[in-house]
Amino acid sequence: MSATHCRYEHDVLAALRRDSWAESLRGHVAGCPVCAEVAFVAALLLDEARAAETEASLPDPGRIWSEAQLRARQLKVVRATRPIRVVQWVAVACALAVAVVGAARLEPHIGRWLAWLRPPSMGLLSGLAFFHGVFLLIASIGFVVLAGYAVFSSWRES
Amino acid sequence: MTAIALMADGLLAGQLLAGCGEERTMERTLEGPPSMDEQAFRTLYACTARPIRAYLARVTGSRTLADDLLQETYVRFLRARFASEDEGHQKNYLFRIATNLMRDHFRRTKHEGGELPEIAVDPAFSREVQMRSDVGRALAELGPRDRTMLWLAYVEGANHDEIAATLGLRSRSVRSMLSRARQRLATVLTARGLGQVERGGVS
Repeated sequence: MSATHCRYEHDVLAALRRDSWAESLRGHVAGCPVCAEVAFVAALLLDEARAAETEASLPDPGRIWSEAQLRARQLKVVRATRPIRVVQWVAVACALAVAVVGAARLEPHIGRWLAWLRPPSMGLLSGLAFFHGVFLLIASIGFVVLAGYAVFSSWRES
Repeated sequence: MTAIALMADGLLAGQLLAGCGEERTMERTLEGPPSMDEQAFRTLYACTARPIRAYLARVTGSRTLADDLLQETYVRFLRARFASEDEGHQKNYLFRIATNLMRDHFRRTKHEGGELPEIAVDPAFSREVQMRSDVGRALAELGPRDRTMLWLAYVEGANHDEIAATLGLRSRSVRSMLSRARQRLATVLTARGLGQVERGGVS
């Protein structure tokens, strides 16, 4: 036996739990400060535990079960839609790349299209070129807006 | 989901023992580990929830927090799909989850190192627990780690290895830390005038 430990500590705890003391163990506790301390502290804590266990009604297990099921479903949804989100991000990245390349290629023509917006008079060929340019301009703007919306949607979902 | 809302239609103490020790229904899914059906969960809950709530309440010092952590403990247990059907293993696992949740709580409330602190630094230890009994007040003077070790050792009957595993400590360290915690609590209890009566009662 050392100053802080005794090999009979477990026996003392077991006796306390059973509430059944052998005379020899009772005698040992009376002479062993460590076991006396163990018995003293453990007895009070066991009483405290009994009091604590009868304190109040428990939360409803049905609600805990439902909460666990809900979280499990949410986790399943997150896992199931992960490939979709990956594809979304890839699509957004592709769209941005196309937009950048397209903007770079269209940049020389933009000035001409803007000039066509204000022709005082136009022939057949210049009229067709005008509508073609306006169409490309509107398509480009629509593409950029949709790509921005896709980026925003993906960001919000993730 | 708040504790208060759940308390409204909670269990009564007398319902606890019903079903304890009965054979559990565990089903094994084709895809993975066994999962528990609701009836088996209710039985496990009835047999284990009160000791775990008592543990949480006395270590955190707050019944409201204890109820919140209790619910989270069981939700995480169910999500973890714990494989063992042995009630003792399940209970140990629940205590481990509860202890980790408390550690997270204390970490969030700025206790050092992410560990359960050894020294009492928690002035918010709830008055509702402190005022219930001299032992509650004495526990409030200890740190959460001391309270955890003492409760696991002397109420739950956990051995040093189990306490070490639960708290993430070395088994050898637990022995001396538990001894120091016990001495601290004995000193506080004796100072409150409880020593002579209880010692006389035991010996």
